[in-house]
Amino acid sequence: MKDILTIAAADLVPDAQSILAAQGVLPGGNLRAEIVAGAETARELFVELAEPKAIMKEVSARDFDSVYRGNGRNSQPALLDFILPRASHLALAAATVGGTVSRRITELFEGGDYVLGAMLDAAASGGADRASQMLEQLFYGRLTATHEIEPIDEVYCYSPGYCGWHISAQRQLFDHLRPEVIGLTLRESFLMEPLKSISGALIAGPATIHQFDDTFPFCAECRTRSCRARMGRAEKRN
Amino acid sequence: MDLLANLSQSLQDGDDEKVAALTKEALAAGMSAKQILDNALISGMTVIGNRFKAHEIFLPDVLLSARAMYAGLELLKPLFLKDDIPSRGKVVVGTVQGDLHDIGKNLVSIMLKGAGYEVIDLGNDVPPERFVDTAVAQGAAIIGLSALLTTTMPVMSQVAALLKERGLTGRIKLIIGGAPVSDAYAREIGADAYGFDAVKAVEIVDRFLMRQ
Repeated sequence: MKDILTIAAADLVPDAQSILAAQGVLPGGNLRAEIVAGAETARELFVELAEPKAIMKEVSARDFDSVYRGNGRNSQPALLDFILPRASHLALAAATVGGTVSRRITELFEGGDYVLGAMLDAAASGGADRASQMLEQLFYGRLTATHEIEPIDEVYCYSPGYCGWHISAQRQLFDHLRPEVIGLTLRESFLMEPLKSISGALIAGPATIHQFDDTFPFCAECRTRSCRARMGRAEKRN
Repeated sequence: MDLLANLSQSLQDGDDEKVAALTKEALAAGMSAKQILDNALISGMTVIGNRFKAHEIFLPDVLLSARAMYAGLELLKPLFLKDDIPSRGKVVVGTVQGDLHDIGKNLVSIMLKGAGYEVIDLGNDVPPERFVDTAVAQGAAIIGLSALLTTTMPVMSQVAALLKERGLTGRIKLIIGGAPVSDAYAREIGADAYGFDAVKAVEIVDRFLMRQ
C-alpha cells in the first residue's frame, strides 16, 4: 500500500540558525542585521512557496533487493550490504518541496538578490531533508503502533548516490514507487525534478545496524558526513 | 578618507546604495572608470576575498559585497564600452549537461564578475560542444564547469576531450568544481585546475590570466 502525503510547509521550514549554518556561518558569528533578516525572510518565503508532498510504500526484502541492485553498479562492498541482512522492515519513499521554490531561487539570483537567493536555497534543501526525517518518523510510528518493531529500534533513510549505493538505482526506485503522482520526475542523469527533492529507502532495525566505521573507500570522498551526526543522535537516544 | 578608499570601504560594508553614489561622485570628480574599478571596486573585493579565506567573514557577507560591486560596475560599464577598455578576461561558466544544480556555479559567476572578469554564464544542463563553441566564438581564455552529480561528472571529461580534439588544450584553460569533484579527478580528465569554492576559482582565474 502506498501513502501519499501532503505536508504543511511550516512543518518543514528550517530555523534561521540552520539556514545560516548551511552557508558556513558559525554560531555566535558577528552578523550584519541584513543577513539575519535575510534568513528570516527566506523562512517566510519557503512557507509561502513550498508545496511539500511525499510518498511512501513498504516493500518486501525481495522487492527491495531488485531496487537496491539497480544495474549492478553499487560499490563493492556498499554500506547497505551490511545493513540490509539485519533490517526488519523496509520502505521506499520520496518527497519534494515543489518546483515553485526553485523557480524563485533562480529569479532572486537573476535579480541580483544573491543573499536571499542563497538563503532560500538553503531553506529549501533543509526543508527537503526535514521531509526525509518526517518519513522516517512516520514509518517508525507505524511500525511501533502495530508492535512490529521494538521501541529501541531505529528507522533511517538511505538514498541512491550515497554510501556506495549507485545513483543509477534511482531508475528502479522510481519504477517501483512511481513518485510521479507527487510531481517527481527522473532525468536521464538520475537527477530528480523538482530539484529540492529526496528519495530513498527507509530501513528499520536495531540501532546497532545503523552504526558503522566510516572507512569505506567512498567515505573518503563524501562531503556530507551526515552519517556521523545521525549516529551521534542515535547514541544519545540509546 | 579619500573618495576611492571610502568607496572601497562601502563595498566591503556591502552598502550598494553608497557604492553607486560614490561611484557617481568619483566620475563627476574626473576619475577614470579604470581608476575607480582597479583602485576601489576590485581592491575592495580582494579584501573581501581574503577575509573570507581567513574565515573572518561568511558567504552572505561576500554576496552583499558582490551586490555592491555590481552597483558600481553597472555605472562604469558604459564607459568601458565607450573608451574601448578591455575586461580583465572572459570566462565561460556553466553546469554540465544533465545537471540542473546551479547555486555553486552562480556563486562562482558572481565572484568572477566581482573580480572584474567578463562572465558568459551558459546556465545549467549545458552540452560539451556549447562550452567549447562559446569559448572559441567569444575569445574566452577559460571554461569553468560545475557538476553536483557523480553521473554528470563524465561530461566534464567530454569537454576536456573536445578541447584536446580541437587542439585547444592549454590555450583555453579548463577549471572544474562541484561537490563530487576533486583535484585528483581534475588531473585524471586533463582539466587544468579544480576550484574548491568560488573564492578559490577566482584565485585560479587570476593566476591563469596573469600568466598570459
